[in-house]
Amino acid sequence: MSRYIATRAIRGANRIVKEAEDLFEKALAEHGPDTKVAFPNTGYYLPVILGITGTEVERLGGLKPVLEHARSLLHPVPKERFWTPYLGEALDCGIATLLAEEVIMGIRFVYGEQPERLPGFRLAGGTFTSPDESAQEAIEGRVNGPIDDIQLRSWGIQLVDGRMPGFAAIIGAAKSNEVAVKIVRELQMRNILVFLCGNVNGRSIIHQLMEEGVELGYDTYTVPFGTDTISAIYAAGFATRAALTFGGKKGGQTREIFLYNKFRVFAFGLALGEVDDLKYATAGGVISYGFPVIADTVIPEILPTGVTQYEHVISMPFDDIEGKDDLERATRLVQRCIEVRGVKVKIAEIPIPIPYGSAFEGERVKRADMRIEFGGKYSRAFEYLRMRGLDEVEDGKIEIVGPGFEDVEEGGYMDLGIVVEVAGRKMQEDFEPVLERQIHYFINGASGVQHIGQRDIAWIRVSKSAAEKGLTLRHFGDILYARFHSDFEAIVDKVQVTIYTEPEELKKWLEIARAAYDVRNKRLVEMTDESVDTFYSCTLCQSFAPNHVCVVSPERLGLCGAYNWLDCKASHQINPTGPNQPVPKGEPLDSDQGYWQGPINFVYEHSNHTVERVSMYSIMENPMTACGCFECIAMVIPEANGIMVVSREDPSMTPAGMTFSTLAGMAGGGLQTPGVMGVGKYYLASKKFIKPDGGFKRVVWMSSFLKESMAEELKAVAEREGDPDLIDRIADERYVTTVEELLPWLEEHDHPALKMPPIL
Amino acid sequence: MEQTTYKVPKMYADHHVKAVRDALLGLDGVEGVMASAAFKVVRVDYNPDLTSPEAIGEKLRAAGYGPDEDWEVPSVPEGKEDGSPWFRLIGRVTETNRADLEMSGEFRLY
Repeated sequence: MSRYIATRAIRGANRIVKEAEDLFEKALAEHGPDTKVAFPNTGYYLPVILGITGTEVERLGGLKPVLEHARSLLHPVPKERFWTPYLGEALDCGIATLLAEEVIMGIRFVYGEQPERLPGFRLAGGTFTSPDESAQEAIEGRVNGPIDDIQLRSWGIQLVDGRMPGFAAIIGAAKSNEVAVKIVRELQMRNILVFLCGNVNGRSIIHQLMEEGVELGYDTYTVPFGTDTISAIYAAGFATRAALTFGGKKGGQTREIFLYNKFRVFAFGLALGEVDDLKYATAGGVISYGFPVIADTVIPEILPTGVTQYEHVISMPFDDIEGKDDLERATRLVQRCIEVRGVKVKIAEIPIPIPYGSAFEGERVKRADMRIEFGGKYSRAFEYLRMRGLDEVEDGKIEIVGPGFEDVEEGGYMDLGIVVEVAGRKMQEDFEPVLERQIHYFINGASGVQHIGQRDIAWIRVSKSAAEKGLTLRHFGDILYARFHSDFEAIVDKVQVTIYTEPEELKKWLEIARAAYDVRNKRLVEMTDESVDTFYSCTLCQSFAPNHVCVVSPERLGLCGAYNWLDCKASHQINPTGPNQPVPKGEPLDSDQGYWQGPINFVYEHSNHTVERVSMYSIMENPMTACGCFECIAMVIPEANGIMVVSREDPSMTPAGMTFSTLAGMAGGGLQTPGVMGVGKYYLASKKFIKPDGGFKRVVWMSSFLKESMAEELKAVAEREGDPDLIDRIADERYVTTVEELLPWLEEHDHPALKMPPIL
Repeated sequence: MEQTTYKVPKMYADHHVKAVRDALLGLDGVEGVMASAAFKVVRVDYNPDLTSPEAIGEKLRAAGYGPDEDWEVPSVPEGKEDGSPWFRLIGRVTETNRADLEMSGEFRLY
């Protein structure tokens, strides 16, 4: 352990704890002990404090014991000539620092100083529905602040399936704007989530990226926390909540939370520019999580492994990095970070003139920045993937039938049809829609290209900068060719792409595509749990929730909403030893109740023998467990003789007396809790939805988001249930947020659940 | 334009750097500020016709960062004095080794 680092970390910790105490006393005097303290949209209180101490801080007065605990962890600064092992002290002080930093941030929220104001800053929005939407303009002038639970959960599936290999917390400012952009682009291309904070002489990497016009926000995997080191606490909060959300850990299980992060969350800190006492002290804190820290300046190194898997602290002075210019040095710096943390990264080489990676998937192209659009209001775009014989597909053939967009005026539009033909010995017709849906993700990965929708409601925009860099229609073909080969090599041997812009040909192919969509729709309707003899498991999330097993059937999709039965079947073909294994139904014990011997055996074996019996459908009796990525939570409301369904997009209070975030703690982590279940939202429309408990008619309350986003599907459910007005009889957060309000509402609207047999 | 330098021990982190810069850049005659939290030093470029090192020092003091002032932090936290149980080295090392031993192989669980 370096005495130099220990001295600075311990000194920084002593000072930040003192600063937090002073601020606490001031806030207490000005606001009183009962003032609420909370980060927005999280059920984990102040998460680092919750994780490390188990304390659920809700009021200002609740911070006092936290500060006392932080103080008890402090140590004296090492003496000039007193050589002892300092690691323990430095790590203790690191934890004291994190606690003090979170206290400071909690109090800054009380004073309305968080998220931090940054004039001229505009957060990239999070909506996919309309790129012209201006509601996001309301969030101008502030950086992001802490990541909310909704976003954490929606990234969950990407964190576990490896699309998002980890996160980097960048603190400080890069040597130049150019280097800052390069570092972030290198991380984005590897789909690593980037958290930004800190400053050097008042200048932060957030300023640098802003000046270069880089879009920052959830959609681009780059989250600006604030322009000081204290805001790095939000990264530790994110890591803590990952352990609480997906790992089933509880507040106060400090050691377990740290070990979970060490082995499962591939994160690292990157300090750009000078390292001060607080940065050393904060690094001391994050090292306890198993996260190494890399600095681009000359600092002592801590090379032995132990608390982290590889080296703890690495110094890589930027100007000493070998490379022909600063950009090459930036690339090498990022590569070294990835090596030190052991982040597993998989990138497909895509031969196009613009950057490519999942981190660009959420980028929006605004009308003002648009070179051309296909689909949307003024034109039509469709995409169709079909399977052909091996001799009918010419691998690598990319053909453009009709003119390119070069002659279309800037900001204009044109019709477009993308037809992908694939062949492979293991390819099946059932996989066509699974592969077709990937077109959305594949095209979206190009920086400066935005893709929304699917089938014949696809909507693609190309930005001016992408077009200036030379992007043409042919590159869509290149992307699809490369990605289908790299991601689906087990089932796809040959890929051929034809892009139609010629009106007659386009019309002809659109008709062929629509006929195929129709056939697929009918096939999906016919597919029931009775019509197959095998379900599929999904244990993808076991990397995060070790005891959780999803069993996916044709009528019950995965709780994350990302995997249906066909997806799992295709995934099994692609990776026969992967997380989607066939689960033969076996002997039906009680198929109405959702009991088959096969799934019961499988879940028992694969949940580390913690889940002894599972029902495929019931919420009351042996419900299926959940990881943490669920789209909705269903929970029994005994007073109303029914259940409520709250979606993760809904931050409001529910009749259960808890918000989604709080409920999620009960539903996630692989725990089997009768009466509570995490589900995918389309399971609501299934005939098998809580069938043993009375089915959809049991739903007495649901988030209005679900009512609106699934209006068509729910209408069909209501008709199937023989009550076309059923959805209007279900309360939502606009009218009802307590159980006392719920009962009169249900009586007034004559809800059928009131007449059903008791649910308990 | 002239230059002056101050030692500011209180400026040990970058949120102080922001506060110091904001204070000084608001002073007439200050043309540039280079504040380093690592070295706890502020270098100020100023126009001697408009301000002086004394005025700049006063501005720093008013912002809570007086030159050569430090945080009033106890040099030894309670219970960590020389000779306190914390410094009985043998006991601590034994504890650490046991914890290391427990942790080794734990990757199988996580």
